[in-house]
Amino acid sequence: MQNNKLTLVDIATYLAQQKGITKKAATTFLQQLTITLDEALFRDGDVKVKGLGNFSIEWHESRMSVNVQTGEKYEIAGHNKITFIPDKPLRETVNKPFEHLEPVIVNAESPSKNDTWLEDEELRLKRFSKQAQEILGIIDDLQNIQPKEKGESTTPVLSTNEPINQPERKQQEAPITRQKIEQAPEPIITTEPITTDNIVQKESPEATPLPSFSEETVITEHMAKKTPKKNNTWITLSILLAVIVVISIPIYYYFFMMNHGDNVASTTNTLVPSTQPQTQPVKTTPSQLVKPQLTATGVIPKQPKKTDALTQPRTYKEKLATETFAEGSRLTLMALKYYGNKLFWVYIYEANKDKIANPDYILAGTRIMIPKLNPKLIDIHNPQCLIQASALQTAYTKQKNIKHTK
Amino acid sequence: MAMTHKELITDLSSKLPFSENEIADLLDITFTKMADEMSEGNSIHIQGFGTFEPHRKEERLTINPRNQIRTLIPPKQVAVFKPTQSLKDKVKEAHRYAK
Repeated sequence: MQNNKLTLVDIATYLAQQKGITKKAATTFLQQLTITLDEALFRDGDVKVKGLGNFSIEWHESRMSVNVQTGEKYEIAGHNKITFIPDKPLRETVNKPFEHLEPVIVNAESPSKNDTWLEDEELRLKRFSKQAQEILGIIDDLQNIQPKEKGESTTPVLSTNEPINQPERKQQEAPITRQKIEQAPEPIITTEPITTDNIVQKESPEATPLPSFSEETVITEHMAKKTPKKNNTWITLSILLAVIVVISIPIYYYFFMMNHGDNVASTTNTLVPSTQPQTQPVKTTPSQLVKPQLTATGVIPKQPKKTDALTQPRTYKEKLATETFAEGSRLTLMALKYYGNKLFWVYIYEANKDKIANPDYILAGTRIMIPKLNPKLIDIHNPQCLIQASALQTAYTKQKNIKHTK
Repeated sequence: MAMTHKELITDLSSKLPFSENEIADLLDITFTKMADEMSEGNSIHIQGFGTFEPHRKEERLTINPRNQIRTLIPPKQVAVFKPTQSLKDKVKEAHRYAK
């Protein structure tokens, strides 16, 4: 590319050479050409020149614009503009350097990328081994925490992961459930092997080899039977079950709270066997045998701690904001704004009980204090909080109805 | 009505000492020359009228919104006409042409 700027004279010189006419005649010709085009353009508003293109005068409507310096609005008046659309031969010649290029359809990455990796054996193994490494890392971390109490108990846990023929598969099998449950806020109902193993080791060191051994053998047997595809469905199934268990934990808690935790130990005992076979069908009796010990140590101390936020009497000392009740205002909308859920309006009501006689009928102009609440109380992801709030709501609605009937 | 190519030739030959055939020939040579120059990246400036210049359009990726097929559009070079300021002003002040 040269990017030279040619003038009319250059074209005229070329013309004179080609046609054997004088330079002057050629220049006159070109000048006359532009004059004619110009005239025709202004006469008709457009002019078509074969071999060159189409010139036309287009009207551009007035429009509003903004001065970027001052931000002032001003109007661009309607005006004419010349547009030039090159003729086909001209277009083709100008595009000659890129003529050979054709639009290429790019092979779009399939949107179901997450599904295909399961099909590809190599990819799958790669991913599993990566996962296995991560899990090993997690286990290592756990061991670093645990050994301070009992040093000799570290080895059995590690042994579950190493001596197996297909480490990728085995780890991918059980640990997925582990990871899932580890994320759950309460690690108490221990369907996850890590906690059970560790606690078991603490309680009775001589029993340690049993759970890990049984788990290992059963799983490997299990794996040997299954084809890869069935294996995949098994993974999803186990994840699903794990999720169900995670969801059910807070609900169980709620019932404990209702029963005021008098017979916590007995309930947990009945609860553990019911959830355990669901998530970990491969787990055998040894680990179940030690369960009672576990519930005795692990569950009960945690129980009152968790319910504290919900059961302790609520105080509304700290103020988050103050809203003036206006036409169309709703306590529920305020709750949605400040706490993220409508259900928590009851706490606003509780904090402003002295000002609000009837939560359904609040005078406009009432100053509503929005209390600052314990984040545990208004955790929108914790179903327990929602249940608590809705229970309060039902209670207040009843109260109100009683007042009305009186 | 817009001026046709034939009208242009007739008009030019009436004002110049060339026959209609010669005019047609000259026009053809002129436009071919201009196109060739532009394909090499040169621009042609005609005083009082404007500049014809090649513009390179970079390659780009398009996605068909209906079937999500992604197509790579290769780069291309197009001819662009930039009228001179005097012509622009003249056009701006011209009356509105009915289309």
